[in-house]
Amino acid sequence: MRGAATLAIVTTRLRKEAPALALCAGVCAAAAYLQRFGDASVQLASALVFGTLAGIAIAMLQRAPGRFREIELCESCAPLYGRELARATAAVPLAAVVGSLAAYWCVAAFYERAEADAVMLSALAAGTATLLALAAMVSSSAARSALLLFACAAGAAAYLLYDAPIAVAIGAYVVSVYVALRQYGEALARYDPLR
Amino acid sequence: MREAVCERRGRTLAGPATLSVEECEHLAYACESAESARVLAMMAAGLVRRSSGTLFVAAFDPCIQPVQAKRITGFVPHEAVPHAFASFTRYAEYRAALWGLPVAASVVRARSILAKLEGVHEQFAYPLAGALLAAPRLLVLDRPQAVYAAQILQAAGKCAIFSTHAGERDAERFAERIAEPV
Repeated sequence: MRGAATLAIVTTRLRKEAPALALCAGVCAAAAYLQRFGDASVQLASALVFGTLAGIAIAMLQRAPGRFREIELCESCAPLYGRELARATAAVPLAAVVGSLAAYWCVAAFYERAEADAVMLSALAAGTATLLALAAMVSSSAARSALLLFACAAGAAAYLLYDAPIAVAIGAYVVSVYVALRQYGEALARYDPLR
Repeated sequence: MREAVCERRGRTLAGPATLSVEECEHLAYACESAESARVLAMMAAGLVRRSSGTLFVAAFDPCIQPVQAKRITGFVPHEAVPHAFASFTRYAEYRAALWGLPVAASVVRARSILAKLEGVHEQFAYPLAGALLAAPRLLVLDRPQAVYAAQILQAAGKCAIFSTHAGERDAERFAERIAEPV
């Protein structure tokens, strides 16, 4: 029963957002093509920038006021727990990030073998940024600015951490994804439609 | 609800309201303004937290048990919401999935409810059919039009109906129309 609701939310929102997802993937693929002769650090930086921006953009589109009014009205009236709704609505921008980075790294790998560590780190960093952006969109104005700033910083921090032992970097981002998802769930639970 | 109030940033948006709606009862509640009618309806449907007072939908407090309260409540907004779905069937399927209802049977039920709403503009009929899909015990209507009262009553069946209105006149008109024999 719970799975059906999550699946319905994800597929409906993905269907609505398909053009934006395709655009993000196209832009990332183009960026990878333009960076095809760059070294590993340039490729990682580019993946982080474009993957993070794609996730933040889709997250902001998802929660933009008035854009999915009928869908959001159905979801807010539905007997769903806050964490179910948070997971389901987070899946869409995360899918955008996965699609965009997959496009980027597939094109990059066509010209030069992509490092698995770099792929994983870029995915986790962009995922963290996306979740922070989602939390920002359901928070008050002061918290929103701070969360968006953290979202942008998530990508930059991943680039700096790439020089550290990769297990440390990936471990840090796995924890940050979990924390960001919890943060988003709590922000969604506190969300006041009258604000 | 008893002395239920909704305040934000020091401003009272709705209430204090003390009222009760029994099973199969219809209550048209007059509010001071359109905004307070909207907020009161959203409070009754568990979409907005109250600031003080008590509110129960059957045995459930929407602040403490929102899932249980929403399961037995249907809400219809006043504003026309742009359609996000390609067809009414898709909309019914979506609502059925969110409420954990069997999809095929829900689509059939949705269509039968829609048939009872003949003459009602689809901007209002679709959300109303969606709200009644899960056979709620309480239907909350935000400033419904009195001209649709008969169709609403026919579609709602034995469901309790609580409607908010932006003024005494609107509430009286709706109450008169809904009390007319079908």
